[in-house]
Amino acid sequence: MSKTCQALLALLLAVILCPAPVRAQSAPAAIRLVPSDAIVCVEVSRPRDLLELITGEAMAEAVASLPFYQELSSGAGFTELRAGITFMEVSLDMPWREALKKLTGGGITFALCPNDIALWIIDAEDGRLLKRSHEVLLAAMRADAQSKGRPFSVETAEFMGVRGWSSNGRNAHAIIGNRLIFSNRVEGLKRALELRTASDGVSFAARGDYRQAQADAGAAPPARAFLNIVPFKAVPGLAKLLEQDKSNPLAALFFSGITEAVRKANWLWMGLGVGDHGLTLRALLDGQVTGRDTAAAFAQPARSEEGAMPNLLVPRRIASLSFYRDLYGFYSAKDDLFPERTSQLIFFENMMGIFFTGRDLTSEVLIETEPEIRFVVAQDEPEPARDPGEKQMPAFAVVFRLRDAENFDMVVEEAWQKAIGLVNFTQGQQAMPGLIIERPVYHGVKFTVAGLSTAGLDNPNAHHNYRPTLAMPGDYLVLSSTDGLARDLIDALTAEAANPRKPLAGIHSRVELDGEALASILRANEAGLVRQNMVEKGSTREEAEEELRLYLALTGMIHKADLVVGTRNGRTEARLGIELARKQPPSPGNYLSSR
Amino acid sequence: MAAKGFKDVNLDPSWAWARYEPGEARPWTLALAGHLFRRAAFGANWDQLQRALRAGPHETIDGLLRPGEAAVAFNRTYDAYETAEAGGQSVAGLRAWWLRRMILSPFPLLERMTLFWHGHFGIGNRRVQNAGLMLGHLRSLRAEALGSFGTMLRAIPYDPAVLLCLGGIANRKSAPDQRFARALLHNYTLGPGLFREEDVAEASRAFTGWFVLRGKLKYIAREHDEGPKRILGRRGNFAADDVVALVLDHPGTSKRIVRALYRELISETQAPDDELIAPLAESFAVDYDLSKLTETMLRSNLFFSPVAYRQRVKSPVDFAVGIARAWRRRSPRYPLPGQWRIWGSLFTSPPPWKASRAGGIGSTTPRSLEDTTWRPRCCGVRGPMERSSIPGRSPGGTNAPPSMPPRGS
Repeated sequence: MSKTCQALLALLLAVILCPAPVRAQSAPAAIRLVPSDAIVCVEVSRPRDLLELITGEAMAEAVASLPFYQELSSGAGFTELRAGITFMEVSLDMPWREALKKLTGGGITFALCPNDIALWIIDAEDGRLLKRSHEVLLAAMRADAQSKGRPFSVETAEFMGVRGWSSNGRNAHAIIGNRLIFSNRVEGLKRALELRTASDGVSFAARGDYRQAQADAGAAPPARAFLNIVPFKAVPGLAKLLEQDKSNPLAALFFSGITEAVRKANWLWMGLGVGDHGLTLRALLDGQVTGRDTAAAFAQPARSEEGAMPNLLVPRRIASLSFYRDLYGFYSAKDDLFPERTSQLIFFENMMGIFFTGRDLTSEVLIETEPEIRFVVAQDEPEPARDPGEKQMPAFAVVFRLRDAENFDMVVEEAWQKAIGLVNFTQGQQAMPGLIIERPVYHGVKFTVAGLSTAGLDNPNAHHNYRPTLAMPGDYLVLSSTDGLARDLIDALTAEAANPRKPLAGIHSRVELDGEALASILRANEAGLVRQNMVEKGSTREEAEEELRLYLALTGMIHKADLVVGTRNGRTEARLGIELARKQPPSPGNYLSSR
Repeated sequence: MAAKGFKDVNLDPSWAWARYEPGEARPWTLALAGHLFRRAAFGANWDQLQRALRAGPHETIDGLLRPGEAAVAFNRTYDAYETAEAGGQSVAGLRAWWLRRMILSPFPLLERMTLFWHGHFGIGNRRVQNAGLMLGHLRSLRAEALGSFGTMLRAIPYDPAVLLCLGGIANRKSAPDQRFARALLHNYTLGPGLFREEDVAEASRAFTGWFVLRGKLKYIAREHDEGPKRILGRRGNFAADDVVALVLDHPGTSKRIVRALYRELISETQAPDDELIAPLAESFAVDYDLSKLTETMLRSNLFFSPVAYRQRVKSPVDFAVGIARAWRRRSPRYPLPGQWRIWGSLFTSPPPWKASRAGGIGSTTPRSLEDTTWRPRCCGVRGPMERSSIPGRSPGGTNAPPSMPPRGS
């Protein structure tokens, strides 16, 4: 097959790959043609919604600005593909976007079955256009074969009353009314055609777990996928990852509810929705997380109205995370959860014993915390006298809520100052500058800042964004890497106290990301990131800069991302919302000068 | 004089150090070109070998010793990269940049000799814990790696990284620290047998008054011992510079350095006798010019003889950098720190007189080589090197290893 024909076939495949079908009036639902042993099944019932987003001008321009796309588009293969698209546009007498929508507008179903069989079922809105496209492609391939003196490699045969075509005995397809059925193997097409006349109970649509997932998910989004994840869990890398929380308390705490759910799950359902400004991805697992014998239990609110608190909003925020975690319950159960007491754990407990003046960490310290933990990462305030090549670390902070702040705040202050003292002693042993404690007041809140002594330092500005800070506004305990972020959090918490917000019911974890701020911190650390790439990946400077441009272009496309994880009816559910940037991302060639 | 194992070899010094001139009996071959690049440049790729074969040995050595302006610009760029990386305690970043410099440098001989001097002085970061000081040390070595050994040695007592590594953080009059003085006499210059314990004790008094405070060298005059000292048979009110001058005046120093370079460039399988190295040691003692000494060795008959050919085991760094340099146009990425850190021989090795030279054979274990995931990938690339650059594999004799001239020729 010539490259032109390959390009045309690629176009047809692209049509298949991008969107999904409208049900033909008399045809069975596409899912009924999918074999019941499929491992993955993707259904796109409203491809137009996705197509309009993917092929829309804004997205097309954003994608076209990606270095990866620019590299791809300069290749010979891409030129041939464009020639093929032009050929099809002329042959069909309509723009390719319109043709694509009409060819796939009825819906797309994809299934991956054992023995590497892939199956595509595409329902066109316009059956005549589908047939015409098919004829045009076959004619082009025939003409190409003739011009090169080769035999025409596409064979045709009938199976169960349906005419099918195959190329070199491999790819096979058939057209039934408005529907195109395509498989990478002849057996795949045959199995789909057999199911066409089989009884209802033998296809994928009849699987109990698939039906259960549809019922649990509720209203069907434009695109959805069902995965049998049992085979995937046996993949060594994933299996190891899923076991990590059994030996790592921190991993267990942060990923509690997620890893257990995956471990116990048989299937994963995902739905993709398209809104005015972005995408929402929803995931549902059937793994039940119950009982108090796993770390996940301490992320499950006791009452249905409880959950993680909404995230805190501060200026120049890059990311914020909010968790519902019962630290007291978790640490009380640590001996059962992690029978092996590691040296790190023993060290941690010893240090906590020193800082908290011999108090028991579980029953006298952690019991004072509410199951409400929030993290904030933000870009530091602009520093006028900075060296452009210097690393600019973002500021980060953690916020706890105390049960009895009035009586416990002095204990925390004492522990904090002991920790600073220990740091100073260690720094002194290494002939390094120590931390000097100040206690300024901000909006009525006295807080503790420990700034590095700059006496005798060659570059006092080098540590400008390392000023560990403790602040306790109201019931909250703020530990921040800079006093600037601590001040912003005092403002945010004061505002929250004035207008209390309800917890996110049933949600135990929430992560929000600000794409523009992330792009900004990447740009601020551009020189360092390029150098890091050069030594860690061995890239040339040009390659490293190109890769950074790609990341910047991608982050520039996202305005906000929001991931929430919780449980509903005992099942773990995650929702990821991506709001796309309304304005164009910075031109890749100009990002260096856009600072 | 006949060397052990080379009974037919005439190691008359006048022949050994005379300039090698290719001829019918001892032709300039691909094998010898590869030998030259292995010793002086971490190896070469096929194109470089072919160019060397056409250019002849001495023009190739000219290029290795004086690579031109490209090397100056390259080093300036990499100096800036390293400066940006030297902010903290860890030297992982510096190590990665140095490895990258070794692979890509248009002046590989300079990096090769810098690595040699790094091994000679054996300064590691374990006790220094300061990337900036380690970078300063490395730069002082690079500055004189092919310059003046005298200048390099005169800077050593004032290098905070050296003092911190040797434990000489505070050298007080009341308790002179002997560690630096011992290292200077025993490891850096004369070697065992040419000094006495009294020399160490007296020299250490000359170095009193020097402290490393907050990463900076500081001289406190009241802590310096102003009294007379007797060092290496001479008496005087010696200070640090005087001790270094005494050591440089001693004939043992030039012999020791020539022997060390002989081991690095010629052979480590057998030690040269005094008669063989005497002409080089005498010449070297005049100005301690390392460039001249290196050039003499590289251009010599001895270098291109079986006495030198395949008579040295590659260090892990040498081995790895050699592969990376040879394939650099075929393997576009070099995953440097992750895999290479396992050798840990750059900046962190124990002093070479206790284990091996930096990155030396002491750490060349099968495991250390097997641990690299990139090695099979690099070696898996097929190219002309596999076909014909391996000496002795190709018919026709152009790749044959060198032969010795008839006795007395």
